[in-house]
Amino acid sequence: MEHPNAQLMRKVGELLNAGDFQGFLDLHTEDVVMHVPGVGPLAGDHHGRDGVAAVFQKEMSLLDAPPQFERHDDLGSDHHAVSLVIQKLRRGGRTLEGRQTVIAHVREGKFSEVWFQPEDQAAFDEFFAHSPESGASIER
Amino acid sequence: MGHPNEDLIRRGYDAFSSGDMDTLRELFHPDIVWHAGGRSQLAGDHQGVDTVLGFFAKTMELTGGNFRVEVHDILANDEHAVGLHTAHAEREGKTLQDNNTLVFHVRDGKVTEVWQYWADPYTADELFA
Repeated sequence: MEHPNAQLMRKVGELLNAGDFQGFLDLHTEDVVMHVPGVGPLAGDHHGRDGVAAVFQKEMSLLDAPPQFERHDDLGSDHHAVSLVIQKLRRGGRTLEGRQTVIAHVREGKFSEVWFQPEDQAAFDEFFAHSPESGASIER
Repeated sequence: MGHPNEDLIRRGYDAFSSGDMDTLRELFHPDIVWHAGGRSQLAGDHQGVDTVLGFFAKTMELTGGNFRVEVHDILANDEHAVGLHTAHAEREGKTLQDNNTLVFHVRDGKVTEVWQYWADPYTADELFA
């Protein structure tokens, strides 16, 4: 039988993909910490639901379209939930597609801490470091 | 008792920690592929059980045996298992402590494919440069 925390992870992912951002935030504790790795503009430790909302808004502002997450599998244990996803991003006409794990610490049925781990961190950082304007000028 | 695939991976961690390569060989499919993240000399796709055990040996060689893992949690279902562990490594006066994630694909009780994720791959790349 599937662990309840695997079901929680799937629900969180479905809310995000459906654009129900308030529903997504409600499944995070008020003192949630979200760790975004790397050296790009989104990297760092984002505190609280406001911090989580801000980093997603910033990501949206940098992308051509909302990020797509193709869900491969969700797993749960009594303290953690993990999602295996294929992340698809589009920015300045360029596309980045790659495997990513999402690891959540679960407290009382909500995510209290979240870590993202892309398979290719350097490609992820390079994608966000690239200037869309310069890419467009090369194409012209 | 955990899921059978959780027990499988726990046996694997125990075998790795005690240097029991015979048990690892038993748990791994002969055609296992281990995808090691990052850009260091250890990174890349290691194919076949001999190559994967060689990759473990190379990790130990580069660190002079100062590489160990501390299991934090193991999650499993019928197809996958995920190991959350802290990797501790030392090399040439540098130390590394990283929250690693291993994603295992399991088929018929054997590990067929593994994806290794570093929380901070740049630090790992530097250590194993």
